[in-house]
Amino acid sequence: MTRGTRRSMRTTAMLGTERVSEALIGDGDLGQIFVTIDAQHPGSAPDARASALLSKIAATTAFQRAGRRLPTATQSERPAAGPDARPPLSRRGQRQLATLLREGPPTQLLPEWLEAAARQGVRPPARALPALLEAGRTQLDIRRHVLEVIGPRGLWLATFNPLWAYASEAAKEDDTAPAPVVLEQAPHAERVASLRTWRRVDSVAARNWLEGVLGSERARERAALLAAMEVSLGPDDEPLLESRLDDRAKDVRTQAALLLARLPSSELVHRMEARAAGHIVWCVHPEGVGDLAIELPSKLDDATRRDGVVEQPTRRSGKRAWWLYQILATVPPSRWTDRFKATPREIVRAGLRTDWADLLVGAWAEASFNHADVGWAEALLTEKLYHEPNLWSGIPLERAEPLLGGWLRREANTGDLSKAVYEVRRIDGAWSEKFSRAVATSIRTMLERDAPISPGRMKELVGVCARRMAPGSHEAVRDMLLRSLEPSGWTPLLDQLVELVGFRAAMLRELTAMSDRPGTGGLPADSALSESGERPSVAANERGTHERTDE
Amino acid sequence: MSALDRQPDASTVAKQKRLAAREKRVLAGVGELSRFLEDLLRQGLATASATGYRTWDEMASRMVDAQAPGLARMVRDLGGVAHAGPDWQDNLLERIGRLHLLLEAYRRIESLDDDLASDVRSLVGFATRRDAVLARPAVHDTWWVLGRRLELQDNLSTARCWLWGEQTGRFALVLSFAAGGQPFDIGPAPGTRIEADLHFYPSAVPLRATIASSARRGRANRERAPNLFRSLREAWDDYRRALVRLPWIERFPMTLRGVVPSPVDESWRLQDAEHAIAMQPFGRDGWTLLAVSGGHPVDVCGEWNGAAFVPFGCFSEGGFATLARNPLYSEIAP
Repeated sequence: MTRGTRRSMRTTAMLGTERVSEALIGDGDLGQIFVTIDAQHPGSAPDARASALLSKIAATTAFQRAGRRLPTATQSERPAAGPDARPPLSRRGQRQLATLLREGPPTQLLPEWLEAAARQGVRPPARALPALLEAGRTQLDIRRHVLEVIGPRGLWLATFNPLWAYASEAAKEDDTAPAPVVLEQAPHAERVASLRTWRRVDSVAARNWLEGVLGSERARERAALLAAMEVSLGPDDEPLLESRLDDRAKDVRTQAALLLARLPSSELVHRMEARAAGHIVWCVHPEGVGDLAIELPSKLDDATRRDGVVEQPTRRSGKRAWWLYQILATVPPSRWTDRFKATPREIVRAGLRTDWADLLVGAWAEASFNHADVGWAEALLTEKLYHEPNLWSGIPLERAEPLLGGWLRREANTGDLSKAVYEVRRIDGAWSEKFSRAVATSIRTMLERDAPISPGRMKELVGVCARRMAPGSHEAVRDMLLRSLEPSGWTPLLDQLVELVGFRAAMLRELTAMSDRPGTGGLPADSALSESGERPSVAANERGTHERTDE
Repeated sequence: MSALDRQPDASTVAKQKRLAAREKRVLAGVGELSRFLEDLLRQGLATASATGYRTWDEMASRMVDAQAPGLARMVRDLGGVAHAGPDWQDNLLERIGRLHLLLEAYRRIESLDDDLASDVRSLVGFATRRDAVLARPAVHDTWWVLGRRLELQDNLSTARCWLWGEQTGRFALVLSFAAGGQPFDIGPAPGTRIEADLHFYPSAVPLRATIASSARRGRANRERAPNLFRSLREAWDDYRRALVRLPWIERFPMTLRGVVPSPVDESWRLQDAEHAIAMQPFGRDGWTLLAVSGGHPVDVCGEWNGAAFVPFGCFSEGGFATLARNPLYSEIAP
């Protein structure tokens, strides 16, 4: 049937046979049928032509539907996905993953699954990839592990969906240094990202390029590009950063000072230390106890300003205290241990006895975090200064656990545990079995004492524990919280806690069992894919480096 | 004994009387609907459709009164098509064409063969009694459950379940219904096989069937049946041949061998070496299928819905992957 016939049929039907008087003619076989139809509805009255038209529409519809042809295939412009030699996840493991993906945020076990799967080098089932890529898109904190787990098939899949572009970008980021020409012409955000990549790949070349262009860039651009220097920051970067302390733009100066403050050997840090030394003095008493004498700076000179100290306080404090705070926060705390010949704990205790306890502790905490000084962080935390959240994230779990255990015990006996557990939550990594049992014991103590705790708090507490308790402690936790505790209103929540820890144990067992199997899947669909014999090294590098002892 | 014999006679007579009365009303309704369509084309669809749903809804109610619920549904659907989407004019004409063909067929039902006559009667709205279907010969086979789709529309839950017989090579569609949110038997699980006797409804293209109660529980499918899947061309030709026998087919099962999915703009396509077919996956199914294929050919089962292929499941990684899950109903992962 020609397009013309179809068009005039449509026109006649839309306008009506009262208005369109010409009869509808077709060609070929359909034309013959039209002739027969016209013969059955003689006359040129609109009624007769309307019923003829109906029959023609009916005939055409049947004719077209049965005669419709399939479009021909077009050449696909994209190659198929490459092979993946990682061992496939077991069937039980696949069911567990499906549960995790279906239930989503409330249980929040996906991060742990991803981490374990990445560590073991397990290949997730292809059908889970869209959900995993979606999870990686919406949850930034798990993106890194998603990228490790999805493998070549997942990276391939991501190239089809603009929403999953992050996966291809991350894959690109690892090995290609951008050409300087591209860097000069690219839009703002892209330039910064490219420069960061370049710093990772070849920090010297990237710095040299930046040094060359900084003079001709606008202020906003200079600050953003300079910030990219934080990638692979090292002592060699000091001259460039030092020169930027005299930049015309304030943002650039601040940025340069921030970066220099993170180089313990930089002149800026030495200058700050010298400044601080005049205001914080260690006096040793005859009986061996040290004390701190503090004197706030009386004025802010230009040299100090140049090193990034800001005049107006951004927190609630007096101006002079604020200046000292900034100076102290820049100095690596280990300098005080060296200077005063005292332990961090002795110095912290002395600081707490001064009128400026908050100032000192805050600045030291910030400095401990900036310079990743675990000894000082520990000393600050031991003195019960739990309100500095950054400190916890700096301390390795095995060193934090004894501190926390003691704290939890005290809290369980006197208050409710939610605040303490809230802080514990900030520390990365799975809890050890010993610590998990300690937490369970504290919860039991708290409940036996009938401590007043709101259902919301209790739910939060149980949620954190369910995600973090060591899977190996499952039975001990069950015995402690369900078997030896009188049933109460909390029992359903505790049930949930024990069940989730049990699910995690089963989940990790399934993943760990994987690594003992040979690398090829052995299933028909997989062997077809791995024919090319290529073995991607995704899994090989990961194994071993993330091994934990507590599992 | 004689009294017992007479009683069913009496009720049969009453039944036949009722049926005759209904057929008379339906025939009158068919005449009315034909005149209505003629009037529409005489005045022009542009004017009629401009008046919106009301024209169609009123006519649909007349068909309910005429005890022709099938026709009522088709008329109501016409109202939904008018002015919907860029191709509404062609869509509307196509549906009017099919409706007219049905009305003409019903008028001449005496001249049709028994199977086609059954189709026409059921399309107009005469229900086929299940016991009549169960009285027909059983087809015994190992039936593969290709896919299942649950739908909730107008407060009616429908489960549509496609089967394929290992020995007979026949497709079968098992439907079950329930009012509102009532729990009901949604049929066997996709990705399993059942040993069962099926009874097909009479039809020129027999697809709809009912499972005799003797069905055994399903076993999971690990391997794929060698002759289940067909090339795109073969599946398409089956569909066209079926249309020739029964022009009102709306959904048709397709099991496609070695097709590669790909996203095209905002929609999807499946293709093998020679041909391509439009695909309309549910929800995230397109991405799942693409992930499972990895750009390599996969075997996919589903149904053609008149405009595009809807995937229900595929074979991957040594097993059957179920698609077309409905979030309204929670199903357990296979």
